[in-house]
Amino acid sequence: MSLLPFLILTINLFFIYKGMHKAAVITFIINIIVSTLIFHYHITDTININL
Amino acid sequence: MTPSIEKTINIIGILGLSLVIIGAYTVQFALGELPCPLCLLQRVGMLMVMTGFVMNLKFGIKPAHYGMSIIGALFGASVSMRQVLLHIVPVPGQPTGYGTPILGMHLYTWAFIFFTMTIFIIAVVMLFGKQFETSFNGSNSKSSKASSNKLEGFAMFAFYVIFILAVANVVTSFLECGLGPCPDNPVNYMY
Repeated sequence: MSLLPFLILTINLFFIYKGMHKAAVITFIINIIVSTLIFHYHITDTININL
Repeated sequence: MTPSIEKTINIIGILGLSLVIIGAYTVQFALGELPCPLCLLQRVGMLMVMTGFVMNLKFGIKPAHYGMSIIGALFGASVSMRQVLLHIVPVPGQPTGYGTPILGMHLYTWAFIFFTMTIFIIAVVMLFGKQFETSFNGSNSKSSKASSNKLEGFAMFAFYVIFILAVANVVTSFLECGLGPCPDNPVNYMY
């Protein structure tokens, strides 16, 4: 799970190299969503906090 | 500010942030300190910032690409601030913070400083509006919408650096965590 953002990022860079602007932007957005979900998992998983 | 100066600034940004990740790798391999899940997410944030810069080099300088870098920096800053707050109160009998401090501060504190500095520098760079009027090939930015330029010289080198770092992180995070979530305090590699 932790390697997923890096994997998406590598695909993102591949699209940039190939000059596929739209695909690069879409993979970037997917990466943001996946990374945020993993961040959320690690916030709620580790410690009980009061926000 | 001309597009060529902007291009140089973007290359410096990529290489500077690459040095930070290389420094994190040095701590990982030289001191034997494995990165925690939040540390890995901070690396993701730095790579996202660099992605925006690379898109500036490849597709021409556009506010949207700087926006992507700012989003990456905000993500990384929120993760690093979360980790700072996690360790900010010392627990008696336990080591303070996660990992060895470098120059008096832990890596996640340095990461937060780098992310906020990145946002500040991008904001300053974006004050110069002329860079958005023409792209590298001299054509108007509206007519050359999403046109791709060939990466050459230092721009190509910067791209290779970020690509190698991304692939290296895929490999090392797989070796450390496998396909599942990373343990909170990893002590050795899974594979």
